[in-house]
Amino acid sequence: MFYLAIRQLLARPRQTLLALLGITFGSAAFLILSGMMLGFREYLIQRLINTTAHISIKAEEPTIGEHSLDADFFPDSLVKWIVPPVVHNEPPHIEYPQGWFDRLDADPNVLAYAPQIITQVMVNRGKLTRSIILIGVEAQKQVQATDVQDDMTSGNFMDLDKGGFQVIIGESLAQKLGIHVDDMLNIVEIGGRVIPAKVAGFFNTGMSQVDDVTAYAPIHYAQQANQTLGQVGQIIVKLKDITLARTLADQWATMSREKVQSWDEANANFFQVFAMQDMIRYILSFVVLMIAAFGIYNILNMMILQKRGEIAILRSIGFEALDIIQLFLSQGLLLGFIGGILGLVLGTLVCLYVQSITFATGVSITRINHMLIAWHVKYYVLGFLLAFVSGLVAGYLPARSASKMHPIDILRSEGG
Amino acid sequence: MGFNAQKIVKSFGNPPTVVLKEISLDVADGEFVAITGRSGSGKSTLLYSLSTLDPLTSGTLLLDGQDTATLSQKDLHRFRNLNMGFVFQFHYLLPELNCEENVLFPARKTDRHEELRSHAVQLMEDFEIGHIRKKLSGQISGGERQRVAIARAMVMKPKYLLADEPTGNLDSISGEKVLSIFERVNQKNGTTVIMVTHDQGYAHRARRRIGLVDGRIDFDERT
Repeated sequence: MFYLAIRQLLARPRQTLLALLGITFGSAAFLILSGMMLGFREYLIQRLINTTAHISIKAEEPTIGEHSLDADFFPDSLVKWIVPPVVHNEPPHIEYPQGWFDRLDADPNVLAYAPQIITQVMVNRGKLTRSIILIGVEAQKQVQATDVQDDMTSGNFMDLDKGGFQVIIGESLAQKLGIHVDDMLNIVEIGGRVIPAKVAGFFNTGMSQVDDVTAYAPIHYAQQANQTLGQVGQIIVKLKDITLARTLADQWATMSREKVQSWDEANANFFQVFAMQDMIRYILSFVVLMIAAFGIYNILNMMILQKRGEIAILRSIGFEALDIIQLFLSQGLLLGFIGGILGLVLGTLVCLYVQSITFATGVSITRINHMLIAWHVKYYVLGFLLAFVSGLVAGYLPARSASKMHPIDILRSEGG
Repeated sequence: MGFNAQKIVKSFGNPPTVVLKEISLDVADGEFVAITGRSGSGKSTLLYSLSTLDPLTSGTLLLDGQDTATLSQKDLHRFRNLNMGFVFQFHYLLPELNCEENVLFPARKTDRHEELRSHAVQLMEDFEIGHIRKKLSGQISGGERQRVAIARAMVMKPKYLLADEPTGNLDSISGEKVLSIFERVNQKNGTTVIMVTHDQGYAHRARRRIGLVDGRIDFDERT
């Protein structure tokens, strides 16, 4: 029957080609959409993991409501504040960082950790002033816990440990301030005191929202600028196995007052966007393949209507219902198989072309200068399976109806 | 052994319309039988019932001594493939295949198409259609198509050839050629031929004629 199926497909080149194109485009669309969407996503996730941390331990931001302090100051009294306490005037900090350091040192899952203090300061260079985030770090630990050293475009991150008030700033921030390595800039502390700092180097994470507003400084200088001497705002942790991040974060959270978050929890908004992208990708591919499958279904249905007499003769000369199913189903499967393969080839070619397209990095939110494509076998397998299953379903339904035709009914209705 | 039908009844629809009314007949191996009758007399239904294509409503049909009611669908398919050839009023050739491939198609069911290729070619030569072996059905005349259909029916060297109005769609010259072929396969190969026709001229070419009227045998005569 396979022999006849091929001959029947070849006898209708235009119809076959149209059905084949539908499946090819469906499978190619899935591969291209997956490659493009997931290529950029993988890059983004990698950057998120490497520039932030696998787990971050942050001091809880204390929030004080109108009646939060009633019990402490006026126990057993109904209090009506004239000016209710609504804010906290102390920067959040980890209560007992040494306890965390001991715990992290003892945990076999932890590869490295780095304490940080994060504060908002003003930087001033000549007439230019910008508000930035100053991250106080211990350079050695920061390098061990993150990929910051790899992001350095000028200077060495470890220079922060050499002594003196040195800062390493985002490359794009440096451009905006018009400064070079070894230039001086002024850091305006919270109290208004201006401290000159030497620019020891630049980094480029590829994310402009970081590079435009971030600077690293030795932790004790940042503590000084924040007026929080000896305090740690957060500890970032690098694990040996990133897949344990969520589990460990949840465990640690139950044992402490601090807010412990894994990298994926901290970036949950990204994952919501990813989920939406996935939905769009599947819906688009599904729609294209549905149209293609409907095309195959239509073609086979028409063919079966035209071939009722031939089906009758096949049944009468000994071919069974299963042979008839095989005849038409194999045509759907062939279209799905060949369309799937062609789709993967077309998708690969388009992905290769897209990947070769370069664009200016200046306005980009990343430092990459070309489209990123995810090349994973699973997308090829999935793209092919989508096409194949479309052919299978589109072929099976008409094949089944053809197999149920009784030769005598056909012959009678054809006037035989 | 041939066909042995005992009180076979065939009815259709609801309420049932009885088309064959307790027909009993024997057809021995090597006979050439013409079934005749007016439209609606049940001649085609009788042929399809004898061929096992159309299941009986009641009665018994023995084929080569075997009760067809005891055979599974698979066995019946196999029996038809190996022992029966069919020719219909319309040729029903597969338009994607050339004439030789069409003739050999029944043999593909049992993967014997290569083994029977020379036989198919010989049949086509015998039926004077050797010259159109490689042509598609759309490229040949109606008479040639019907002869290709007969060659297809004969390719498995069946014991029985069942034909339903095989000349109904042909001109007299082509019809004559078809009848000649039937006579030849019956006499030369001993193939049992059962032919439904409304043409009395063709019916008289058969050695036995069964006339149906309203689903009953009106006459059963031999020459």
